Amino acid sequence: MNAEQIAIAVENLILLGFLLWLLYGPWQETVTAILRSNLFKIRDEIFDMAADGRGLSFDDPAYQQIRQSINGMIRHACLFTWPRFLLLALLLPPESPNSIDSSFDQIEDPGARKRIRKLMDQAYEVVVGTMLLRSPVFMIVLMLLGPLLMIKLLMDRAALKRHYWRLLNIVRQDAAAVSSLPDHYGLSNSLSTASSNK
Amino acid sequence: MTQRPDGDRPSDAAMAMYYVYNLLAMVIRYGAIVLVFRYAYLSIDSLAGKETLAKFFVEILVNRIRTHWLWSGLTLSAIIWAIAEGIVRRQTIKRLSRRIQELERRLDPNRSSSGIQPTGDTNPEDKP
Repeated sequence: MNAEQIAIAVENLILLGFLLWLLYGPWQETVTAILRSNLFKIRDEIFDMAADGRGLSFDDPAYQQIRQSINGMIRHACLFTWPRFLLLALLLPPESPNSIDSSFDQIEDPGARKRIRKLMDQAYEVVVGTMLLRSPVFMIVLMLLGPLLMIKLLMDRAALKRHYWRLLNIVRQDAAAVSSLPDHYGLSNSLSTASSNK
Repeated sequence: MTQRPDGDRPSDAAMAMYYVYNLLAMVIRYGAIVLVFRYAYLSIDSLAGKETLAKFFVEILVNRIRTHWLWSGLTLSAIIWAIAEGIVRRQTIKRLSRRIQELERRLDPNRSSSGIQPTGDTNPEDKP
């Protein structure tokens, strides 16, 4: 290898490092900000419903529970990645009880219940969308397989709906699990707890 | 702290696996950086005895950047713009979020918060 070839190799390595930094650094923060912005919009709409007394009030346990669930998703927005999603989907029991469903049932006004359920579904959709945006691997896979999958699913609309609800239910469970993580969660903390227990 | 019924909470074993995953992700992330630096070092090291390091950087690498001035310039401009945009965004969020919190608290004194930083960034203790 001559000096010019080595220069090209070094240049490509620098660019590869830069690309990795961009994808796993600022890009991840941007996607987290997009997710949070959308979740704030949903939380604001639920707040406005309670402020206007549209079938909900600030004292309702259902309101507080739903708000806490959205707060948890906002707080841990950086943790919604597809490897974590898959891991949680595998680790959580398939029929894990979902407390957010019982919160919906506590809302007496049918119109408000329907609207909030729709808003929460929107929140889960945003979570799924940002999980895809986050992952360069998933984006490449989707670009390659996407057209084929779309043709297959569009030919069978019933299957499309079934897959959609199945995915949304898994996301609901995962989102509830992630938002239930303690505040001072983290590897460093768990390690320090383990060492202090010793 | 987010209080949720135990039904939604992953088991201890699941949490342990989750921490192992976080550790692996960290090893892969930093391992990739180490590998990039290692191969860059090996590439430059293979020049030993042929070229001086200063000559290599000044004459060849800088020359390559100069010949690709358009792309280098665009990349640099994009980086500067992104940093400036991020600073302005954080300042705006910080300024507005305090007012929104105060106004919302007038309507709902028990208003719960998401617990992220006033700038909209993740709390350091919540980062994986």
